[in-house]
Order: sequence, then structure tokens, then C-alpha cells
Amino acid sequence: MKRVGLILSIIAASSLCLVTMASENVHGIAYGAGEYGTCEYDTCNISLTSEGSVTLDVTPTASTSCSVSRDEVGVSTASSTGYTLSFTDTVASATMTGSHGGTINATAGTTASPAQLTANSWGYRVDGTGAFGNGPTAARSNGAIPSETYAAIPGVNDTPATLKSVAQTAPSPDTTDVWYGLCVNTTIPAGSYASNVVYTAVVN
Amino acid sequence: MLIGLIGLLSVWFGNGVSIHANICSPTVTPVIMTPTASTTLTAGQPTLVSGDAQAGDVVTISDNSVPYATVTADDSDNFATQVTLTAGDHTLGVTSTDGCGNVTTGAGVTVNVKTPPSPPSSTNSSSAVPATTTPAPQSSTPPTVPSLPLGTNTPPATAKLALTITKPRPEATTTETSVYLEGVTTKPATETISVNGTKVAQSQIAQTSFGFSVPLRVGTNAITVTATSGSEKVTKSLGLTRVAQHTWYATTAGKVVIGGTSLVVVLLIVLIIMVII
Repeated sequence: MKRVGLILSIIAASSLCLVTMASENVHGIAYGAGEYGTCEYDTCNISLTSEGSVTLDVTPTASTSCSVSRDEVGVSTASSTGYTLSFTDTVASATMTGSHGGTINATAGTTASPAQLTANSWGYRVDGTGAFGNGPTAARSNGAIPSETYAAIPGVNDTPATLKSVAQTAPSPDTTDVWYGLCVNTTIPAGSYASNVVYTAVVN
Repeated sequence: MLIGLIGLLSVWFGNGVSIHANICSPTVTPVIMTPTASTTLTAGQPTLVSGDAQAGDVVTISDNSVPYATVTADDSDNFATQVTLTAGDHTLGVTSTDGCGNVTTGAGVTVNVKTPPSPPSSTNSSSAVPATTTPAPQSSTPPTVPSLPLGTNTPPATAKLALTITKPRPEATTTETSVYLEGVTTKPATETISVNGTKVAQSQIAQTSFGFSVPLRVGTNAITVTATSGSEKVTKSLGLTRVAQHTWYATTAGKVVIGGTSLVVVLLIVLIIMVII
């Protein structure tokens, strides 16, 4: 009997403890509310989508032929402080290597100082961001060297390039058009060239 | 800790995009080197059709304007396949399609196909056999000999051993952990497959077609196929670069969110421990 009484006492004490802890929680902050730093309860989720692949087909000419394609990147977050979208290449240098030899270098332009593409180079631009200017950029195939300026994608060990930073919630996908341009002439061997980049979206 | 990790995953992650550039050369016209024009062939016997085209281009061989076989030009700008024709005049055509979709048509070659002197008895109405997996209807010339399925028949003893890798197409990079390698030879042969100098597969039976699953390592994979038929040996190579698959990931910047439901879980664990005690 004594043993049963002891167990009941422990359970009663435990229940009291739980009620006390729960009460403290309820009194301190309502369930489903609260804030950690600038991120309110249950509002820090963020999601990111992109096309997954971008194709730049070029049939080169001696005087240089260029193609421009777009990747639509969408970010959703309920954070009232917004988000920052950035990206880098997945290797140290954004040089493309061909399946049958040959390389296509990243443009000499940088995010801070973008430049027009030249023969046998490629890069990115985001209309209205930083020093890129407003554009508008349009997709094209086998055209002349675009008048818009482009920048090299930072290598994986470099500081990521900021594509967009907003200071408000984005309940539905907030899209950013990332344009990729490539120019080649007939000195580049025919073949398949590729590069991979990684986007990162961070809640501000 | 687990709850904290879940909190982090809900806050940050990244995604990737692959940028592919197909650089194409429209000036390379495919050429049939063999057979040459006016060559006399034997009906029902597999005949090597080979020539030059831009490396990586998809080459289509047609018989009297009807697509017959499709092969991919190798890194040495060569292509080869087999055709088996019925008696009569045939014009073999060639077109190549590059990675940008540009189609270039080469000059056709007209050959005369004669019935063999002593054909075997036959009731088969098939007129030809495709060399690859893209067959098409053939010319209406009545056959005089049975068709000879590729890979099971015996080509002419005079045929020179040639090897064509039909899959995969040469690509700069892949994220796959293995690739299925297919090809054909102009006569029954055994194949040895090696990757970066290490043998990974070998056929046991001499045939005129082959297929192997070849494992790929991250980085450069130099795939070599060696076909052997008697004293003849032919080697072809294919380069593939495997890149690591990019997955969702979380960065750690120090913000952790623990939901209200997690407190209930903690309390339940405490209760269970206390009851056990």
C-alpha cells in the first residue's frame, strides 16, 4: 500500500510540475505566437524555385554569334523582413568546358562593373539590379553581341552575387529573371558546354 | 537537437540550375565514304555504311529517301552502321542533325544490289533490317532472300571490323552515377569496356551489338570500348564528366525556431521517465 501511495504521490507531483510548466508557457506567450529575433513564430519558412536548366544554343559565325536565355527564379517567404537571393557557380571558375575540347570563359565584367559580352564569353545579368541597368533584356538566338552588360558568375569560393534583396513578405512567389548570355565565334569547337550554378535564398 | 535542425531547414535552402550551351557547326556536311557510288552489293547481306560527320551529330541513313538507321558521329568525326538491302537500285542518303537542331543533308550514293547466285529458299517478305533502334519502312522491292537480323547473322567474311558507339551522346557533364553504353560492330565481336583505364565490363559472346551499364565516378570518365574479332581489334573512346548532384541544403547562421508542439513532446518524455522511476 505504501508503494502504491508513493507512486501516486510521484504522479501527482509530476502532474503539478507539468501544469506549472505549461502555465508558464501560456502566461509567457500565447501558443502559436512569439518571436525569435526578427523572425516571428512560424513565419520563417522560405522556398525557392527555378527552371532547373537553361539552354543556350549557338551556331557560331566568324563575326561572333550570341544567344540569351532566361531563368525565372521564384522565392516565397512569410517573413516580414523579406529575403536575399544570391548565387555562385559550383566550381572555382565559371569557365565552360566543351565535350570536344575548347573553353568558353566567363565575361570580364563583374557584378559591380558589368560589361558587354565579347567573343567566346558568357555571363549573367538581372535587369534593374546594381549596375546592370534596366534593360529590358530579351531572349534571342544567334544574334549580334547584346547591347546590355553582363557579369561573370562568382566562383564557388567567391562572395555570392546578390540577385535581389527585398524587405517585405513574399507570400506568393516573388520572381526574378536571371538572364544568361553567351557569345562565340567559329574558333570555338562545336560540342556541348555546361556550367552549374546554385541559388540561395536567405530570410533577412 | 533534432528539433533545432528542423527549425533550420525551414529557414534557409538553396537550389541549382544547369546552363547548357550547344555550340553547333552548320558547315560540316555529312559524307558517305563507303559504299562508293555504283558499288554492286549482294541482296540480304549486311553492308557497312560509314563516313564523316561532325562529332556528336546524329546521322540518319536513308534508303531511297526512307529513313533507315540512326547513329551518332564519334569524337573522330566518323559514323558507321549496317544496312541490309533488297535487290535493285538503292540510293543511300545521309543527313546530320546537330545539338541545335540544324539539319544538313549530304550527297546520296546509289548502289546496285543483286540477288546472290544461290539464294536459300525463302518465304520471308521482309526486305531489310534496321541497324539500330530507329527502324523505318523500307523500299517496296520484293525480297529474294530472308532478312538477316542484326546481331544474329554472319556478315560477309570480307567486312572490315568497325565499331560505333551509339549511346550515349558525348556530353560535357552528367549527374548520373552510371551510363548505359550501346553500340554496334560490323561483324560479331567481343567488347571490353574500361573507365579511366580500369576494366569494368566484358562481353562473353561475340555479337554485332552490345550494351553495358557503366559506372561513373565524379570527375572525368574516359570510357574506352575495345571490340575484338579474331585478329582484328578496334578501340573507340568516349569522355563523360560526372558532376556531384546538388541537393537542398541548409546554412547555419544561428536562428532556431522551436514550435509550441515541441514543448508537449518534451513534457511527455519527462512524464514517462518520472513514471518509470
